Amino acid sequence: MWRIVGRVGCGVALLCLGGCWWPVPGGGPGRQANNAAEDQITAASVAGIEELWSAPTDDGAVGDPVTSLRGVHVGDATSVYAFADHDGSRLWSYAPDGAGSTPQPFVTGEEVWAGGAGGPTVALDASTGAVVRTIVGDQTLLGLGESYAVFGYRIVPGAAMVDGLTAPPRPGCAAAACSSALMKILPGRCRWETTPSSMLASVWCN
Amino acid sequence: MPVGNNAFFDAGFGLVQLNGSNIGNGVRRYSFDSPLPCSWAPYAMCPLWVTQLDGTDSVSPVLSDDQATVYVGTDAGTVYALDAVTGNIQWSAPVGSQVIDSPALANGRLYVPTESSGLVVLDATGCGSATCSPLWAGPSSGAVTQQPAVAGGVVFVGNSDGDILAFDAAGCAAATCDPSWSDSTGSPITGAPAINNGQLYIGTADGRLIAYGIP
Repeated sequence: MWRIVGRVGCGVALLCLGGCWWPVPGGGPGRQANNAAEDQITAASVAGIEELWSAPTDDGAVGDPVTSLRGVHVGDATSVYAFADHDGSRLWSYAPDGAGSTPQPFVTGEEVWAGGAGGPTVALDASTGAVVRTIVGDQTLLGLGESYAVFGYRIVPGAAMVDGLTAPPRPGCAAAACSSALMKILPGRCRWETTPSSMLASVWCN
Repeated sequence: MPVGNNAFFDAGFGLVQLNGSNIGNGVRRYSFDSPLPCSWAPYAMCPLWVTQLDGTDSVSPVLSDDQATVYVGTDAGTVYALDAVTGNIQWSAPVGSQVIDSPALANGRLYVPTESSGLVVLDATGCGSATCSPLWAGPSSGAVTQQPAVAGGVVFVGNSDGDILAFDAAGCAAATCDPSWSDSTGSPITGAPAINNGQLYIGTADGRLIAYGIP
């Protein structure tokens, strides 16, 4: 039976076990962009912060940074990157097939998820960038948090799903560009994807 | 109608209405509880509600901690608070210009990134009436292009001029507050501020990931 495990707070923990924050754009499933655990950057210390490092990517504008226990991850027009948080050294990069827009990464546990426009979505080992899993589908996958706020997670046998809330597709944009997707965020076999522009939903199992 | 407990509400919308173009701007909530019970079972997904907003586009929604309220801004320059169960509008607030990205939500305040009004701050609990006014604003020379980030009583914003600005999240007891810290990256901010373990990260249009912190 369905088991509700999701509240936004524990959802963050599920997304990034071990204490890291900001695994998805907006900081967590509720997109509040509030790191309540931060105790180093404060109103008292902010005047003293400085640029620590700057790391270049290879192909244009950099999207929203997210963090894992292994480093900081961003996407540009063609690739997803991992940088060491202490010095900005590049740990790895990965170019998803079909990337044509910023492949915004997001983090679940030890995996960094990335997808290109029209290409498959992959789960990468956060430490090495090696492909752990490939999700085959012919629809664009955008990362969790890209256009959704998430109410909670539900675990069913073999899969985990999310309750989502979204703004509608942008008027006039092409269906492929408007597509959004939800995908499972916990280990399991099946995933559910939906594209609000077409309202088609699919379940993939791997 | 409980939300999040497998209860479905078939609002009576047909596929045509749910096809996007006929809805216009709005927020929808979906339930993924069951693959079957609603009237369009083959699609395995049911809308719980759909709420019309002003303008033609809206940013990604933000949820309150208790998941009771949804916040969303529109390109018409309005921020809405909606009941997450019913979709009813609790209050709205004009912020003076287009809302560009999701607000940040922290400690009962909404930090709204706008096209030409800078950072606009609202009371997330409303004001006791249907239309609310901002508490204070943080000026920005360029559009605040990304969702702000809050940590340690500080709110960070990036703008189209390449500035990263920090404001005291509590404000300054005035209608307009000056930043408590700023830096110029030389390139528009394209990656929203993220804060983790004492470091602030941003992305820039010229292809850089920049980290800030206490040296």
